[in-house]
Amino acid sequence: MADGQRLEGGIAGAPAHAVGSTVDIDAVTHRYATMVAVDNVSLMVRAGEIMALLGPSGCGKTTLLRIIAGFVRQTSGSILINGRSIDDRPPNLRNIGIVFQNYALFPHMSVRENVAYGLKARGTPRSEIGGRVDRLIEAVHLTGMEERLPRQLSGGQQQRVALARVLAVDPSVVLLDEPFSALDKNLRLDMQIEIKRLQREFGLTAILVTHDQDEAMGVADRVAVMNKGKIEQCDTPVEVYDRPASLFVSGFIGTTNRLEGRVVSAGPDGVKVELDHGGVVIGRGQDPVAVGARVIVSVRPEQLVLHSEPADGLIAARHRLAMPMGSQTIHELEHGRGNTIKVVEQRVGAPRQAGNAVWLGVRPDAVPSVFATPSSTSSSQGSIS
Amino acid sequence: MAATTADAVVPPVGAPAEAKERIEWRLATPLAFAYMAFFAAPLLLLFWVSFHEDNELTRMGPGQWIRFLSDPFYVGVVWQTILLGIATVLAATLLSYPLALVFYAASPLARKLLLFIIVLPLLTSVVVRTFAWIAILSREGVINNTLIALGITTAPVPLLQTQYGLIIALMQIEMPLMLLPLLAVVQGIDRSLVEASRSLGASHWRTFFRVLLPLSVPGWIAGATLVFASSTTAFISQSVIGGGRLVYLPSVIWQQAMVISDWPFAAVASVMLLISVLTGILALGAIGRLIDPRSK
Amino acid sequence: MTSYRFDRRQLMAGAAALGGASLFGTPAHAKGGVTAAIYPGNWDEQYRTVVAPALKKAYDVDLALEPLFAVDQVAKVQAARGLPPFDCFVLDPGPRVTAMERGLFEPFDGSKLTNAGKLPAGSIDQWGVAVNTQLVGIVYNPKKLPKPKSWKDLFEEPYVSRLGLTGFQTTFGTVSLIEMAKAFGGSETDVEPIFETIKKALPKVAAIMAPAAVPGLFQQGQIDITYTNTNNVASLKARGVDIEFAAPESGTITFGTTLHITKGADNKENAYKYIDTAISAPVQDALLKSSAQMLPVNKDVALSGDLPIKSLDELSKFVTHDWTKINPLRAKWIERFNKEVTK
Repeated sequence: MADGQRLEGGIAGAPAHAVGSTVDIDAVTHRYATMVAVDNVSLMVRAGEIMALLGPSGCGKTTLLRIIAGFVRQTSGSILINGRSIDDRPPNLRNIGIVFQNYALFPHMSVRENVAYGLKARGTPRSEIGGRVDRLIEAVHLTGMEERLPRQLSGGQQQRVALARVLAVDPSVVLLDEPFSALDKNLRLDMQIEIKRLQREFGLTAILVTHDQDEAMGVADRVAVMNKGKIEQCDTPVEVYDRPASLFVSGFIGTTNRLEGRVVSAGPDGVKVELDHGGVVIGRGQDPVAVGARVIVSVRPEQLVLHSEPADGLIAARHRLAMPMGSQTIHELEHGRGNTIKVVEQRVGAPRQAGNAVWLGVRPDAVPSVFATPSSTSSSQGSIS
Repeated sequence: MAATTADAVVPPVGAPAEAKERIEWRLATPLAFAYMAFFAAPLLLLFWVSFHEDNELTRMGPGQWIRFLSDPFYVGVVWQTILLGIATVLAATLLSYPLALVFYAASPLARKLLLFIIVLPLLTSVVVRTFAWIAILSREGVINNTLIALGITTAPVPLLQTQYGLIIALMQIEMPLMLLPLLAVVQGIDRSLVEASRSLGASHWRTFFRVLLPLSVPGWIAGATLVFASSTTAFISQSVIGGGRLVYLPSVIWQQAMVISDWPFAAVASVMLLISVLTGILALGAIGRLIDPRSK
Repeated sequence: MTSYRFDRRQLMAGAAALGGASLFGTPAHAKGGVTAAIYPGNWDEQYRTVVAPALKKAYDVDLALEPLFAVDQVAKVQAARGLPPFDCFVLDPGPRVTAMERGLFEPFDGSKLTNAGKLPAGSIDQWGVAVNTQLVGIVYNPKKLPKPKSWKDLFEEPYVSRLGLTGFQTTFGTVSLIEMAKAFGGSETDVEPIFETIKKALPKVAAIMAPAAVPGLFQQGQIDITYTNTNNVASLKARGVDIEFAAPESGTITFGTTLHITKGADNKENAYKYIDTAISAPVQDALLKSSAQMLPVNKDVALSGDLPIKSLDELSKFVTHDWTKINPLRAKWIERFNKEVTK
């Protein structure tokens, strides 16, 4: 709220001094009648970063977004922007911009009227509105379409109007609610780049709510993975991918193979696990595990290498299927009885023959994650995700 | 879930129907003939009758029209009839919109319940509802007894046989006609539009006037048209609740046609009523086009 | 306001009117039928339950009733141009004169009625026969007001502020207003004095009513005094409303409801049988004792119950009107009443 002058410089492409606001989610809990939608969530979003709230539907990410926007009042906890609580402010006084999943453009207003809506609502002088709206429409490359109605625009163009409309009011924070889900695949990448560009240009702090991990990994500076109302892990996309903090995260982010086994040794170099159906893997213990404990090893398909000859510690498997996907080939293998393992390797020449016995090893530079086997079946999100 | 297309942003009402398939027009012929026989033909007959000087329909002439239009009383009756329609539409609008907002914010279950309550009066006949209003508005009726019991007045307030009483009763009687189309349209307004407006800094009032009101206008126009047409022609309610001191076109038509048997003059009054209602409907349509640019 | 139920009888009647009765055939055991117009409501109900069975029993004739208001009957027969939709009219004096002037009646032969001798003199003329007597006077709520004496009282306190007025659109309204005009110095053809009186009283009167609203407004206490016929009093009393009839000093008003045979009727002989049945003593007695309390014309019927008349002989002292003089003026009066009372 205190940074009203930012836009003038920002529009012209001078983002140097543009700094967004911090968002501090402090121990927020929200209960609906019978369930806890958001369970004691704390999260600090830094100024000028894009934070993705990633999780399956029903994980509480949308409720959290609506709490930040002010549409839902949390049961307990607090939301602070730039260190100041906004809990008692109605949505129209929070200065938070939202890009909705379906864009929520006002269908009875032209592009120009949509973009000018927030400025008028805030009582910006008429003389300023015109120029500012023109510059924003230019920033989202819609010059010449000012007088069109939303229904006369393509999905991507509507998305741009929605962005311009939000940027016009110079919000402290922008909330993006599944913004790409209504776009077709090709357009989706363009818009992701576009949003990233605008976010950098305007120095925005943005929170992206999505269930699509590719979207989160591609756009966000950091990813907060939510499950059952809690944040399981919050880190950079690479970190979340390479070092999933929980079994859930390892399954939800990217594709992974889950192999059950028993710890044979644990030390500073890692945890050595003997798999139930043969083979030994050394990984990083994400949970404290003792020797002899039952564990699950999460190995990503690209962390595995295929060998045609057996060797000590390799995992025996039977080749079932090979799917050449351009530069890569995805192999599906059977390990033990009924356990499927996926392996991705760079394709060189013709694909391998299916049906043969093969042996799997972990790449030397790859570090699988080792998790304690859950005591109950509480987090059994399928062995392959 | 993710299959939301851009079309979903535009409420279904007002969206152009793009039926590309050729429609078999011959299917409409039975209805067309029924309309010709039972609607168009009698209407033409009505016009024809209105241009007769005598009751035996032997001499043609504009005499009845001149008699009607040059008499300030009958011109006044036309105005009073139109004003009654406007007042009823306004009253019904003032009460419908708050309910429409409640409906908009309500859960699906509460919406069903509300709709049921709104439709309920339609299951009783207009005549019954009209006579029920006598019991409510009369000197010893519900309203006056309540006012006196609360000590707000000492003597009964005249409500029955007054314009206010009539408007109140018509408003209630015609309310479902306003609400049903309005709610149908309101139901289709995407809730995220309201949230978008709020998050962009608009107050509740601005959100209502700039977003909900214009988007609900097609429903309001439909409802207002029905209420206007229905209240200006509500013969029973007008005569029973309004009484003899409030004269509207339907009672003039009834007296001229049924009691005095002056058919040409009754025909003139009928055509005037038709014109009044059509004018009202056209005016409402024009208001709709002014407010909602999508209908252009 | 009328609910039309299309039952078999009406379909038959409709078919008969189109000359298609033979398509349906006539029941072998019945000696034909007759179609009669009847007022909707009380009349329709009572004639169906009382007259139709009596006619069937006495003459083996089927009665089809077509519910229509008086003005509708006149309008329909006139529009049918020689192919009348029913054989018999039932009319009040005003519409009777209109129908007479427009030549819609067959000449009536009173000698064909076996009950002719039971009727008071003057009940039968060349166009039809009286079948029912209506009495009109002041009605008031005895719990709220003392008994009024004259038409003039209506415009004095305490009556005027509780008075409900109706206009000239009904027969009872017209004759009552004429009597009031007389009380203030007017005559049957000069109602000027009552218009002046009403004009002065307008700010005080409780209501100017549509005739259909009279029972409701009286029941709800919106008005406590007005004028109407005794049938209305009977039906309101039956519903437990505090209402009493008060004969004005100048005399209770009476007029007859009459039956007529439609010009060009298909079943003239059966029509006479229907009319004869309707004026027969047992039928008239049953109609009197019904909830509609329809006053008889047959002298053999003993008057009983709560009526402002003890014997039909008293009728000669009651006030009657000449509708041939009233009819030409009535349209103007209706219009003038509208204009003067409208706010």
